[in-house]
Amino acid sequence: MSYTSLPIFMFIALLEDDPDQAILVRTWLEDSGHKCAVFGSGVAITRAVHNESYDLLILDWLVPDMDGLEVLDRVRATLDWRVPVLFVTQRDAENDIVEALEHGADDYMPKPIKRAEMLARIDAISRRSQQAPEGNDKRLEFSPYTLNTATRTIKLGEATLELTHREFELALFFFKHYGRILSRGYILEAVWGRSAELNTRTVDTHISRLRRKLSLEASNGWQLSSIYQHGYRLEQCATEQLASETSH
Amino acid sequence: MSADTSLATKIARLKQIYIESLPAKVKALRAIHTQLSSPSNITEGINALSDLTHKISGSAGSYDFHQISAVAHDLEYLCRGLQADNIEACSVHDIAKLRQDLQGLISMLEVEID
Repeated sequence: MSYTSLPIFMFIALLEDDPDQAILVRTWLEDSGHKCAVFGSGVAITRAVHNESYDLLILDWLVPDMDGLEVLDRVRATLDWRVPVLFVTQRDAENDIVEALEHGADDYMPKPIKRAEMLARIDAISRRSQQAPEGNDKRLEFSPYTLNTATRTIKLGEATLELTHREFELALFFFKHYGRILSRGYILEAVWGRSAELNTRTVDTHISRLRRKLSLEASNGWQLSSIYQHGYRLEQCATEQLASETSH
Repeated sequence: MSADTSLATKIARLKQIYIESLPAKVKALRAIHTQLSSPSNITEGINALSDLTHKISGSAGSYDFHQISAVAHDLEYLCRGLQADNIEACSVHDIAKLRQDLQGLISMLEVEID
């Protein structure tokens, strides 16, 4: 899988309590190469977003136990990155659209859902949410690292690092999603492919090697942290932390 | 088999399953229709109808039953209007209109079942 040919597939969490609607939307999404997890209640999806790495949430407004707007508020208040949210509901009144957008939804679509429209909106959200803008330039700067997607190389300062193809993909994946917790399963699917017959230990092994090869440490301004029971997160070190590390 | 054909086949199968689920929906709507004839069950009936028409409106439209979706949508809004205004205070005329429109929706679903 190459991240130079974005948009890639997305791992989508769908909040929809009507099984007839949910199975149809899931079929549309999976046929388009996305992966979809369906949740029938607000509580279930708010719990799941903290344990999995979804690229997009599709929220129905009216669901049992907690409405979509409340789910959105909770997600925005507790998740450490801004997951894109598409609202799907019958409520097509202007006030409701404004309310959803003001609460932090990225887009809004009234029911009945139309397949082509939904997929186009998802593609648009996907394009907007790409963290590292590439344009025609194949170089991505994450100082002091420079990733070149054309030559598939990474430089640390002026030194070119020796990486395998897979290590490059893994590094690119982390830098493009820095700041976000990524589960092992998600990393495995995104970097090794959906049908990879590998277990998550493969991810741990590669990440350990990547940390070492890239010298991902506070002195270089970046840390690849293991998040207990969740996965990994590449994060930029705070300036104070960096100063403290370099002074010792 | 092309990807489109494959999707078309999957959708056709889901649509068939949806049609097979319609008798259960009709049964539930009929139960609500009966509930609405009893003044003590009006609130419960309107709340149930609001939820069920919300689902039918969304799913029927996505399965290309656009007319059913539109009628269910109107019924849902009728219910939400009554809920917002205080169900206890709704008039005999409101309930009669609701039951009439509900009967219309049931008839439309029955046509698809046949």
